Amino acid sequence: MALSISLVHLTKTFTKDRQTTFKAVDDVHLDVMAGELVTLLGPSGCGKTTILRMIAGFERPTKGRVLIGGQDITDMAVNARDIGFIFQNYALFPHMNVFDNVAYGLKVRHTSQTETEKKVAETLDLVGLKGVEKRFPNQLSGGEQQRVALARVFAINPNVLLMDEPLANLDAKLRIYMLAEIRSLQKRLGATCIFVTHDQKEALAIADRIVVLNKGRIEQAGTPFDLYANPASFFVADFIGQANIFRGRIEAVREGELDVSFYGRSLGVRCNPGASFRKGDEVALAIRPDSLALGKTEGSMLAGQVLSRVFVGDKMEYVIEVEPGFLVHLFEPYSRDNQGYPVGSRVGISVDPRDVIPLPV
Amino acid sequence: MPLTLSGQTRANEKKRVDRALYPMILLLWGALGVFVLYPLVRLFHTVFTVDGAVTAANLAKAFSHWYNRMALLNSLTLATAVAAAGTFLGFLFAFSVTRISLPRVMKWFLGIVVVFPFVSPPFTSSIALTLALGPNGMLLNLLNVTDFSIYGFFGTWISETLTYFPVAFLTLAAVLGAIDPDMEDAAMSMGSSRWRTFLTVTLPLSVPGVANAFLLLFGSSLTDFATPLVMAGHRFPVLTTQAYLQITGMYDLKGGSAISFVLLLPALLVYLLQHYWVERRSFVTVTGRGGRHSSARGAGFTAEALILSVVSLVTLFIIFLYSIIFLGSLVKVWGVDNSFTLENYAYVFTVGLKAVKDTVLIAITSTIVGSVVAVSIGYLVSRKELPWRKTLEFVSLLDYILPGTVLGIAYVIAFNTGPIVLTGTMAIIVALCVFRYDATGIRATVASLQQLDPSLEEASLSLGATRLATFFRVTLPLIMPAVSAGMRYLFVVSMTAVSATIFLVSVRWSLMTVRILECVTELLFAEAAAFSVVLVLIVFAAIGAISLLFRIAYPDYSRQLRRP
Repeated sequence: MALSISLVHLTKTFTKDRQTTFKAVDDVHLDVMAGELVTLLGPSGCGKTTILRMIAGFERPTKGRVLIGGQDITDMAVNARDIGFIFQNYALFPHMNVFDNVAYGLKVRHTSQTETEKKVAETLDLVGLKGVEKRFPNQLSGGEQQRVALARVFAINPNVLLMDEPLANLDAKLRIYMLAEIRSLQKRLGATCIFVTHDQKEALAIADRIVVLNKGRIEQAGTPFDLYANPASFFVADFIGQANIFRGRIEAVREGELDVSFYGRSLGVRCNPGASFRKGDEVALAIRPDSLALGKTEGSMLAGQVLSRVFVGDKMEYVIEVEPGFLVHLFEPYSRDNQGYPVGSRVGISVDPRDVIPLPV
Repeated sequence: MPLTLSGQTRANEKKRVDRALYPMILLLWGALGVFVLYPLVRLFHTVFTVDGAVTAANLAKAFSHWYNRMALLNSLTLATAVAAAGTFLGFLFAFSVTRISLPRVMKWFLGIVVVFPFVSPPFTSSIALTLALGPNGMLLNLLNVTDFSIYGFFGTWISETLTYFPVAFLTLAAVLGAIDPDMEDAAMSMGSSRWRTFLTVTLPLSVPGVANAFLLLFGSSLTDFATPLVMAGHRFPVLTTQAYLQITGMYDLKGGSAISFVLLLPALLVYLLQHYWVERRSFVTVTGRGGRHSSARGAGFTAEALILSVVSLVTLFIIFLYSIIFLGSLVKVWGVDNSFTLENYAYVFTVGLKAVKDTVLIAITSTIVGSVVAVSIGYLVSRKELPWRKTLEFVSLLDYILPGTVLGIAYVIAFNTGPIVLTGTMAIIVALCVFRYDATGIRATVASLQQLDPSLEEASLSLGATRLATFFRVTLPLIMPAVSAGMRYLFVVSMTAVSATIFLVSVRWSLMTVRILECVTELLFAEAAAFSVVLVLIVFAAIGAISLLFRIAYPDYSRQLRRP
């Protein structure tokens, strides 16, 4: 049975020495629905792992509460919480073989021998690891170790699944495969899952909802599409996907739309109805590299010289120098007919104003 | 606890020590108090008071004797000479092993030479030297030399150097092995010759190791008791033997304490230098990796030939000495009646049987108690939230720094009279072995706990295991290799210890090492040799038994070691 998770004003302060303290997690408030998969996304040091460790009980919050299924578990011992924790390095017991690793949680719960054997076999089958029971962790590949770690947690059927960068130690291809694998296993078991990662691609691919963290605070939370299309801040725009940031000034504010002056032109840009933009303010304009288009210089928004052109398979990545020091990143889909623009040629850049995201400076 | 929306909780910023650990903490501090701190307090009290008044008169009185002043000077001279010679030899051996490609047989011989002094009783090299070069010595008879006496500075120096240079060898081999061969290759690629590379790269990089080896040997020689007792004779008194004779011969506890007290200062100085100077200056960290070899090995043909001939000679001489011990245990009277006999072994297992039994019992008890103490202290010390953590660690290692003679005398003073009387019991000898020699086990446990990934314990907890179950199922099995190494060490030193335990033996509890010493003083060299051989065999058997025990208790132990 899946349970909801609530973090209430969660704060964690680390004391480095007597004088300096460091607020790793700062007043984080979050509700995760039963059965939901939420990723905590952010750069290293943003507090995402600390939040996860507080939910698991490895760290005590300085302030705030942790609720699982409505029950306050802040003061509960780790082994009394009904959680499954997947570690970045898997933390497989090196002195036990695969069977004993997976059976560990069952043994400490005094499950009978026959039931343990049945459950371990079932779980290993579930993660696609039959026949390696007698092997030791150091005899397994990275992907297999990952599966053993998953099996060890699934064997105890936890209501809450906590994953700390579980794919960080796998190579790129295996990562994509395991991502889908984890997603389907989680849905099948119906556990509520919090998944910590610094990789935006992972987060976009797996999450029901992404929570972007910065310096211990929640920067923005929402569905992957929502965060990509409507980032609320410069930080989120740059962290999820890539973005060119331009500066402009607001000329007029209308309902759901702004007029922005930008390099001597006026752009009509849509904005969230609730956003607090005022006339005369400076504004940051985020434009994703794939929203920009190259063309003739006449009538284009900006013009510049192609500085570099890199073919990455499905597209061409351009860097255009508009003025010395003012570089624009731009992706063009690659096709057989369109050979693109050679390095050194002058090109014009244009954009559909609907793809411009205004952000407070 | 009711939930408040402001999210305020009892702000437990600091982690607290688990309540379950309180009894263990109290018990350990109690034991350390009684067996480490209390004897030292009593020793200081004895040395620095006369009729209850604080004074340095005891020290002044002891060193008003020219003989004792000479002992001080001799001790320092001997220690310097042993440290210099031993470090030099150790460096040659270490260089041969790490930088010159040796044939297998040669490496095998070097291995034996290095292991034997560690597992044999402390008199072994002295007895062998006496049999070879003493009165009626085999070598002297061969060479027809008559006016030569091995006793005095020369014999003590040779004997101690041969006993302690393996320590320098192990230290320097680790340092030389850890120097990145890329640096030597870099020097060679810039056109430097082998010899020049050695002088300008290899040698400067190993200087901290050399300093460390020198200090270790200086300390070992300074506090060595067994060798000077056999080899030094009356013309060459040193502090350790003087302190012993003052107490056992003249029943002057205050005088003996005062003499031994002087040993403390240089011993502490050596320890401080090692920890605050050498450790900071270390260029290379010993990682245990290695196996990679530089193409710039060696030091040039001439230098290599010279080094190898010295190393071979010394190796042969040591093998010769140990063969003498073995052969000497199988003849009637060495040098006089060289006919084969097993009488000496019969002597060991009749007259000496009690000593053998007592020693083995004491060594086994010390090993068991010591491993429990080592794991407990190591476990506590590696918990960062423990108050007085550093102090606990320091006190637990304190007895290791102290010279054995000082410690033995402190135990005599503390447990002969006063509130705790333990004289003549097995407990006092076991306590001394445990608290003096557990340092290795404690350090190994702490190091191995620090290397243990904390996520392993967290994984166990998150899977529902209690702290206790986590300790026994995850933590303990993973630190077992370290504990096992500490146990083997503890067993060996409990079997071979003498400098401190000689003050504590009694009619009820006697030790093999003390019996060997008695045989030597009664000129029963063949019996002494037989005792030594038996002791070495017991030590080897025990090391094998302890290893086997862990194989059985933890069948996965060897697999775990193979983990990359």
